[in-house]
Amino acid sequence: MDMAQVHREAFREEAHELLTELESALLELEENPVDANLIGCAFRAMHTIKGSGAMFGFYEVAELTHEVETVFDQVRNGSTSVTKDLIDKTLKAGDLIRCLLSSNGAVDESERQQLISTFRQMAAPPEDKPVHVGSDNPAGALRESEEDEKLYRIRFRPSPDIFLTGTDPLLLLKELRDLGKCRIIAHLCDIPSLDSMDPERCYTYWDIILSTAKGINAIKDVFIFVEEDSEIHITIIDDSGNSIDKPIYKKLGEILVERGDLTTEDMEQVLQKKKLFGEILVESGLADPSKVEAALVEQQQIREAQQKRQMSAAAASIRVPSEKLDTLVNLVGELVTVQARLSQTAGLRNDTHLLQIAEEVERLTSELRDSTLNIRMMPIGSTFSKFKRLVRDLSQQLEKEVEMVTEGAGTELDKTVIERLNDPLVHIIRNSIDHGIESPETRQAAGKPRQGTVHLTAEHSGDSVILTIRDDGAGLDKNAIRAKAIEKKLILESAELSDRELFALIFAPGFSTAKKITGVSGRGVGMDVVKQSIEALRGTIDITSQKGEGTTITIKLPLTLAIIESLMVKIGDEYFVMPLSLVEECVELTSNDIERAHGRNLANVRGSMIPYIPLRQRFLLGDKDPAIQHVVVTEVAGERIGLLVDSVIGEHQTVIKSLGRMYRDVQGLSGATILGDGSVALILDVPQLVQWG
Amino acid sequence: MNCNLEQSEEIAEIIISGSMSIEDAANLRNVLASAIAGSCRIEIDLTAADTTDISCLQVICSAHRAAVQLGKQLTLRGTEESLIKCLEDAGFPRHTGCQQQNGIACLWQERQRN
Repeated sequence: MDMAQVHREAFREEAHELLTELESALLELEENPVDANLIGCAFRAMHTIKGSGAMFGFYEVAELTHEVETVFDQVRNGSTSVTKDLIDKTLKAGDLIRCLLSSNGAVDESERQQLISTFRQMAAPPEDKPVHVGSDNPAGALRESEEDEKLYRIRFRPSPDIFLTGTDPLLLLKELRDLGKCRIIAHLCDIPSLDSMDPERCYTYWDIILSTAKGINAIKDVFIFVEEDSEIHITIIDDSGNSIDKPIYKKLGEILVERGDLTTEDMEQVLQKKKLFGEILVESGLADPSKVEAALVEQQQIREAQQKRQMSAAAASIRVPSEKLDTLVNLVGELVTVQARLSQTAGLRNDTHLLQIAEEVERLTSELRDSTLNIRMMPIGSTFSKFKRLVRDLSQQLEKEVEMVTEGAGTELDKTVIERLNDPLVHIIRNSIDHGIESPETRQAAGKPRQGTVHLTAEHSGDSVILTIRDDGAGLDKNAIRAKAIEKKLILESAELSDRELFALIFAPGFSTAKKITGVSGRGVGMDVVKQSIEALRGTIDITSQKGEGTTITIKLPLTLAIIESLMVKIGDEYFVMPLSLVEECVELTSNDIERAHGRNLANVRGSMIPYIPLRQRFLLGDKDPAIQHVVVTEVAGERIGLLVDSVIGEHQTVIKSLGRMYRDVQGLSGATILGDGSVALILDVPQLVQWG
Repeated sequence: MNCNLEQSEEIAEIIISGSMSIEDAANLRNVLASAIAGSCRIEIDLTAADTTDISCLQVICSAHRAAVQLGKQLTLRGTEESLIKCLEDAGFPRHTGCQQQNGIACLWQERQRN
């Protein structure tokens, strides 16, 4: 790949991230159309995509984003308000840009042109607008209470009589200083000679370079009582919304010409000479030194502001390809294994020095492991924002009123887990909206609010993350599920099932109680795939539902897929590990206990009978049971079930290695790990073992 | 503001104390004018001066130009922290010289905190 292609690829990646940010800002704007931060965020996303797009040859993208950006600039300035129509169109533009950025880049050109002209109409001055954009969200003028930091040039020439009105210009200058970083240059060139001066008149005027996020209105407010008699010019000379990729510093001459302190002709004449421009100007008397100095201050301040932004942007993040992170995690995994060997060897040799070193290495490895895994952690919020869009589009399509409420967007999960979580969650949310949430009329008739709600929450629970998708819809119909399960011969007519067992039937392949198949769901493909996907992530899924009140789906996922805390057990000469998150407790089981159960695999744990799976028999590991065995009690899908093993070794840091292609379909095992002595321990797939029975 | 002038043909020393404000500007101009007229070297001692407003700064600035034009020397002495703060707030300190003095010797040159 040549460098140009590398840059284009990097831009694509960045643009996709920006589009996600844009989308989430737009959806939030729908609820809060005057939020200056959100408007700024949407504007900046478009601005960056436009700038970088044009730079890397995505001219169609740049052309479209330019029009959208123009409208959002007006929104920023308060001359246009945010409406549902604007949000709809911008979301559409975002989708189109995504298509343009995709590798084939095939889009309907007429659609692109239509969007461009729509945005042009929106941006046109009111008299040119053929149709009023709409007032479904009359946001009104946007107050620039807090916005992005901008650099302003202020020329303040007070009335000569300002002292007589009791106003001290010094106080006004102090007020300006309070607004942000400020450089003030007083121009003293108009001060007359001592004998002709009126000491009670003001001859001084100022150039002020102010960097502030308070907005132009805050600056104007400072001069509110003197503006009528004074000469006040406020100009934005640098905007943080500007691309920082290529800082632009205006030259001294350009600043002076722009300020009206120098003519273009004079500048060009001076440029013929080979000296410092400012020096020549002062020497030749073309500009007052204070004016040159003020221009230099402005130049310096812009440079500082741009450098600061560049540095903070550079320091905020470093873009690293995820493959590099995967390699790092793999290496750390190897290191954890080697460290385990070192600790084991040191323990066997009983060498104090070696033990000390081993402990130190163990501590460092543990820190390194945590830090490395942390790098891969991403907040789940980026996925949440996609679902907001999904809910919005689906509810429109199905003519339902659905709101999505999310909580815990900051909850972090391994990047791979988040990526693989997308499809299962889409299935679940689609089902919730299609089958769960009723039509507004039905809801109203049932005494519910017209608008249904889908709650999506994420929270940490030990070394797992619990995701909950809860809707306040119709809930699952137990009778319908039961009838369908009997029809599909999944259960006997006489079967007595708990609610949990009954609901678990919807995870069976091809199971659907939907009376009609819609474009959204109802084909019975999905929930079985959802379950498989979650289990592939070493997670569990559980359903609870109350007819008429709604359904809750709970997904429990490990924080990471690379290294897990596990419990190591031994059967015969073989070691096995299982995720510690699934383990509830371990109890002893003697041969007498087994005899008392009369051949049934049931363990009496403090009075409650818990079924167990004898793994020695399951894995055909010899037939001689030790006198005392151990039942590792786990909880899967809300049921407690034990796994019978010879002995429990203890906790273990398990670096997960996938099984080779040959063993991929082996039931009950999900991977392997290398132990300190170099031997291999298999990782038990507990949910599968339980399902297998 | 208190303003004391001690003058000889050689040197005029103006000792200013307290806060310098618009009420004092006319008086300050008169004191400075007579100091410049009567002495070759004028020294303004601001050690005891607290604060100043723009009007007094303008007068001192103008006096400096007048002195330089007559080939005389006008200097400031003992600009204290609070006074420097006033100068900075007013945007008076600068790196370059005064245009009226052909770019050399501005009274406010480099008068800022490091």
